[in-house]
Amino acid sequence: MPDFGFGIHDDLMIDHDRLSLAYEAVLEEVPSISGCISCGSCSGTCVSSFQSGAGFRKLVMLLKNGSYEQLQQALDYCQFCGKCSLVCPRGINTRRAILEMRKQFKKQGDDMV
Amino acid sequence: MTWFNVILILPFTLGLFILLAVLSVNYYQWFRALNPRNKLRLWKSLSRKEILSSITEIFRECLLHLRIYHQKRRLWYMHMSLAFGWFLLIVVGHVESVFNTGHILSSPWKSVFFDYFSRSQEVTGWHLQGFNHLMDLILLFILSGLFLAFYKRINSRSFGLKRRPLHNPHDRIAMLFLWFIFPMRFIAETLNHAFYGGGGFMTGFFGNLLTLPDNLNYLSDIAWIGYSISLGGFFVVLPWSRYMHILTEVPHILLKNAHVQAYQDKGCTEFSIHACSSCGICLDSCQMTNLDSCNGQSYYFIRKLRELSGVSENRMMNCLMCGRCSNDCPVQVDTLSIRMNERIRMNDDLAFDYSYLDQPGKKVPRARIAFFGGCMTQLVPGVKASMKKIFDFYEEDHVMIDETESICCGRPLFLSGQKKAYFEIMKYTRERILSCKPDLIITSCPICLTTFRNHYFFPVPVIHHTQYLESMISQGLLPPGQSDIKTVYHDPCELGRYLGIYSEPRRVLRNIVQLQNKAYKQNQGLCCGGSIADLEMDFEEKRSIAEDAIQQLIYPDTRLLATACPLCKITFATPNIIPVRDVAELYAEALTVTIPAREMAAKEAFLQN
Repeated sequence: MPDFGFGIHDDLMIDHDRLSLAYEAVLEEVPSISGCISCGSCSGTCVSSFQSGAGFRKLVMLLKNGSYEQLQQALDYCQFCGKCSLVCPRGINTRRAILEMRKQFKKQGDDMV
Repeated sequence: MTWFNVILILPFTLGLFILLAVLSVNYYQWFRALNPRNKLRLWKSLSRKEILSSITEIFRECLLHLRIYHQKRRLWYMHMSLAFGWFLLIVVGHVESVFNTGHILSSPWKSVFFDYFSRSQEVTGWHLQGFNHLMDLILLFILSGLFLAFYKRINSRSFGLKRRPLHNPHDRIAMLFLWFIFPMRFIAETLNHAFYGGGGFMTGFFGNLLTLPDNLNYLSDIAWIGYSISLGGFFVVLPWSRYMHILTEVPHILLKNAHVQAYQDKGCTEFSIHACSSCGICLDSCQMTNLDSCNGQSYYFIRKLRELSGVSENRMMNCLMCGRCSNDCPVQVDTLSIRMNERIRMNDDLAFDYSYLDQPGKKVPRARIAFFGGCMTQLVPGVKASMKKIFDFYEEDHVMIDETESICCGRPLFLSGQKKAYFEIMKYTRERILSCKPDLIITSCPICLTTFRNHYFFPVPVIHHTQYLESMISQGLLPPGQSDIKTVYHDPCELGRYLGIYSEPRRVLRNIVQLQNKAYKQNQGLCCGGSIADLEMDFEEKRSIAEDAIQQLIYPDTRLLATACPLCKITFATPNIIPVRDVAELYAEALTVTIPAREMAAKEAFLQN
């Protein structure tokens, strides 16, 4: 099969009425994350997105969907520079949100995955 | 000694004993917690010359509080009268007892309650009478300070403090005991002299005014017991209150003069946080004090560290780390290092993976000057383009390291407490910058510059772009154009307070615009509010700090705000009050000619010949 530069993941069952537990935990600490409109400004400016493919938009998506395994991997790439928070049109405190996500994984460890 | 004398001296002696016991246990533990290297440093600093300078500083700062004198005069008088006055009261009281008894060493209660023990004796000789007047003068001096302290609780604005520090219960109890000590002494001495005669110009005068029947002389004894209880009570609560600073300032000054830093040293941190007097001066310097929702100011942060409950994460992370508090601190507590310790303790073990940065095949072309913009410069392309234009004008052999693929210097990671991740990313960034084998590294971002200077240890000089531009001007290679735009320069925190670069950007600006010569003080610059150190503040709060800073910086006729930090530029541009430009952009605009500098110089020489 030719390489198109993107893949197709396995089937997902996502219930958009029920948010993932990790998302709710992060939302409690950083309420502004609820304002994310997935515009992609953050990923466009992200230092690590260019090389690793993981931007803040993707992190929020993975967090909402509860794809913890992928999220944990993508979180580790963040360099914390804060460019995403400067370009965010909704004024989301992105660095605090990412720190909170990292902490959630440290706290709950493998139970969550 | 009668049973009454025992009751009188018991509260004072017990309090003093508890104080000394707690102090010696605490100091021993904190000293043990010092890093071995810092212990050695402290030991080596105990030479005669350095001890002498430390003693001078202890006298100047612990007793006379001269650093407060330079900031707020009324507040200084209040602090100084209490500290220096009490010191004099102890010393002169002891000298008085030595003169009377002839013994140089005596029990502490003998000199503290001297007037009680000597009340039936006749005062003979002018010098003993002189002591009475002198002790009264000192008591009056302290009482005047106490009155100011009381008045400060009602109206702190008259002392130049915008906001009154809110004390916690232990501090209030200790303060109550302290406030009782000197009025109790005054009452005890006055009653003493009312019944037994004698006394100085104040207590003697008031004693003579009182005409009380002799059978009420137990009132005087009660007042003396009150004095003893307030002294003893104060000594007991002292180690758990902010008044611990009275004694801890001494080891703090010794450690400071031995160049022992609180960063990653538990012992020094303990000495530092207990040396903080909670005077509230840092609350005034903090730009976040104006925001109601912010509670992370150093005053509250350090006080929480002293308490058992510890600091909440919100308080720890809600700080711009601009350094204004530690700069204004009269005790010179290194608040930044202490906060960094806490952040590192909390977040150092978070996971990270930067293996994607490992690209050994990727090499930056070799050049003499390596220009590193940093993440924030990527968001203000004008600065990058201007630097390119300037390099081309001076025909410098340069390379833009992060023009297409940026990489972070790691300071944001460090400031959030993720020290291990920071050192990991530093490895890659250092390698990439040095891969072009430069002779000089220039950066336009003061945040990166701080990191490079503190931890990177490059084998070549690292300078800020304003320093480069200034060197060009001092070589005579200056741009010919000077505009008449009235401009105010803003000192970025990292460039000013952290690195002390003040004159270079100003010299550059004086050559290209009309720099409004504002009477600025070094290390008093304002933070733009956008600092990457703060992880709690939301967008609106950052903007309100930026607005407030702009209003303080500019004059009514100012047309432009110049800065030398890309992050400050972005933050100041957000409120849309005044145009904001970087020094590099203004410099590039002043280059009115398009041909390189060397060709221009050759042409000028040709024309002159």
